[in-house]
Amino acid sequence: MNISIKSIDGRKILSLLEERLDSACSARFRDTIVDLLEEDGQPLIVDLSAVGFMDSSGLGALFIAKKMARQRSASFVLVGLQPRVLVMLDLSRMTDLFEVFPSIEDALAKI
Amino acid sequence: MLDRDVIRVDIWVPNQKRYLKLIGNIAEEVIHALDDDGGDHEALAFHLNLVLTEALVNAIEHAIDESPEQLVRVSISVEDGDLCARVYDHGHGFDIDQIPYPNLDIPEEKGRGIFLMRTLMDAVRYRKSGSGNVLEMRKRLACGPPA
Repeated sequence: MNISIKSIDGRKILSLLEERLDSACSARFRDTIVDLLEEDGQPLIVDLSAVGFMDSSGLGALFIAKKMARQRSASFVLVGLQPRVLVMLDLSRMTDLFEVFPSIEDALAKI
Repeated sequence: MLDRDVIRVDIWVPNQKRYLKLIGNIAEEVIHALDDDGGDHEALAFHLNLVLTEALVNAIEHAIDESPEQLVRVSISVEDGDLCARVYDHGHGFDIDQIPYPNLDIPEEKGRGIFLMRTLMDAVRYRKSGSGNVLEMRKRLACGPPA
């Protein structure tokens, strides 16, 4: 699984550099986010701009990450969602669960 | 009667999730190869990719023999305006009618696979087949001749 993690002014940015967020990588993706949240509770921006497809396990991973961030009162936002990822959120009625920004720059300006 | 495509694809892949992408890509190519019938093939390609991914994960996770050398069979056919996707497994099987509709107002990490199949396809059946089981998903294509 290809992931890039960087820190900008106290905010972490995790970019998933995979075409698909599916059951082949969703557990590792979830665990990576959980580890980041456990480390220091810094605001976390998850960049999915490279992801053109997400299955229900990917959605589950995002849900667990959001739940954990909420428990730790940490900001957790998604950026760069492609149309099919948005459809998955909509089909599962999870669109309102997440704070979504068009780009990393937009998210950095808000959190 | 319209002159419609007939496509039949049978694929065997190892019992490993890293082949999900391959199956998804093949599924999308099948849809893109269809004649223009006025339907939204881009959406249909995504939907078939998604439901086959969900079905294949079920087959892999519930296989009795989890060795990665075991093969899982997937078939996709288009005939008489009817799309049919099947995933064969060698698990213990389950009663699909007993799978509850998820409460979407109370999100959970898991439990949406069958829901997505039922939402995106016209009919979903799960039954015994030979020494194993088959999950069959059907969808009527746009402008196809009457069933």
